[in-house]
Amino acid sequence: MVTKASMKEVAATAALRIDGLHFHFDTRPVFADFSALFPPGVTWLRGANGMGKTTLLKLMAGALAPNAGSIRLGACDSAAQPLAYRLAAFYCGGDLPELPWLTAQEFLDLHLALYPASEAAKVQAQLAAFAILDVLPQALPTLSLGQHKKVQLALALALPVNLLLLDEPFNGLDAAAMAWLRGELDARALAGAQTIVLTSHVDPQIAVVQALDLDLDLDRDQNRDKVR
Amino acid sequence: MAHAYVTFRRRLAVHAMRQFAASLKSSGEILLLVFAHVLVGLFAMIALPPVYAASLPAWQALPLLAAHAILMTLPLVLLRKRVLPLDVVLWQRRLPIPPRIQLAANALVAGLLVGPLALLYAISLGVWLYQRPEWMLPLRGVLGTVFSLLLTYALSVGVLLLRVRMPPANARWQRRLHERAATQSYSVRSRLPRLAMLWHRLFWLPYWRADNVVGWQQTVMLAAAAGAALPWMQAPQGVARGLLALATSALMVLLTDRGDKAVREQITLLREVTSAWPVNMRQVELAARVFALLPAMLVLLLVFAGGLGQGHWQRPAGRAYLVLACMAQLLLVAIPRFNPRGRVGLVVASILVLTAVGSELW
Repeated sequence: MVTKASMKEVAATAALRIDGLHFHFDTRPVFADFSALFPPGVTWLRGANGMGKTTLLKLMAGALAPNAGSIRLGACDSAAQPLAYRLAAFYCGGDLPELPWLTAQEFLDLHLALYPASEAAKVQAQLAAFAILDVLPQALPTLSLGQHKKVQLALALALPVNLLLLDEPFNGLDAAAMAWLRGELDARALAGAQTIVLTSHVDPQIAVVQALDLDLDLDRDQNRDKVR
Repeated sequence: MAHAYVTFRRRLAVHAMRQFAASLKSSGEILLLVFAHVLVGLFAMIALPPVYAASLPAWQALPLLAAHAILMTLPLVLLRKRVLPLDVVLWQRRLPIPPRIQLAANALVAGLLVGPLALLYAISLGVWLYQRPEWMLPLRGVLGTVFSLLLTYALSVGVLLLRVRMPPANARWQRRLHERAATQSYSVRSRLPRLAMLWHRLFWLPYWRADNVVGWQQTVMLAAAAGAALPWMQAPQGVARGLLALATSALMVLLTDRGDKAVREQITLLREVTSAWPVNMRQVELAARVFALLPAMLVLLLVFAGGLGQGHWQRPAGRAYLVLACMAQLLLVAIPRFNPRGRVGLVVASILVLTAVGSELW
């Protein structure tokens, strides 16, 4: 049984803290001494195109390595314990398939093998909710934008992770899928057991714990005061 | 002034050919060093088939000229994905390009590719006209060569038009998968252990799908290597023995070299995707690198089995061949690609050493 105390403990574990983050691509700087706290619940990450939202999500996912600074999920540092950190996080993003030679079934099987605590039944439930069970034998490049997004979201929502990073999750979704996704995110926000960071150019219409504007000025040190 | 699409296609083709030339630079230098006289000889002979065919009666000449033209189109068939990548094929289909402009663009690109061939034909034809052997009919020889060249050009334009219009090659595997019965439930289908499953998904399937020809290329080379190794071990006489030793050794080395190259490229491609995965990819990458050795090792096993009856492996040359063949494969996989020229040097040296030692087996 999940008690309030254990919920708080899980919630404390799930909080994400970024301190003094520096990151630059070869061609341009993106973050300079960026710090932020992402408590359990849903954080809406906002900003104009090219402000670094996706880059920040990828840094939080462990897909990119910071030049300096730390990213911690509870007590787990992304640099010191990379595998444990990544096991607790999942980045769901990109409108193009990353592994275009796989079918949807193979893509899901692969990710379930990566997260040993995951359950096929939960994936099945999400796929059914998004009404995309019929696309399982299809090659990923043959899926429409919406179908591809749904496969990714079904996986993301089924995985047993503390940190969920959703990059433009509403892109390409039909009305029913949007409603389902909003319901799922609201339920998770209410439970407070997961830290969810999503980017969206439209109002996600869900209960967010904070909205973070990412119109980064590299001369500015702190972003906390921008948290609403 | 040329249409913007025609200019784009010309620039794309020039860029692709420059990239192709750059990728061949290192191997080209070594090949020129080792086989320069052979290449010069081949270039001088390039117009021989049409010149000879033209000296025959028309009913014999025309099929031979056509066959020669088809053969000469093969390089363009192999290069079509470079001069017209799949992304561009899919992108340009959405553009309102008039058929006339599309034809003009393909004719220009085909011309760019067939142009050097025309130059080689002219030089070779000059050589043959100067030599003028007794069987040669000069006027018919020139006309036959021009006919073959024009046919090659027309076929090249056709190949590019087909590339533009036909579904991409990967559509076949997509259709095949799509034809599987749709399911209404999800369960994990793979029963492989995690490491094997990751290898299969990341380092096996991509070589057979999505416009990737590495799987077929390796299969053909493996079949050719086995096809050379088995008769080589049957003690053939004369030139065949040397040729089979060369073919077996070269294909064995190339199998590992090409396989290792494909694996290294795939590792680089996957790095960005897998960097967020909760798995130590080094084990999977190591498994993939080791697997790249297997085709050549299979050929070596065939050589070993075939040579047992001949008693090769009791002799120093036989044992040296086995040891050197193993070492060459391991070096190709283990040594970092420090320098493309060094890599080509290692491949060529391995082939030469193995061929030399292999020719001492009998």
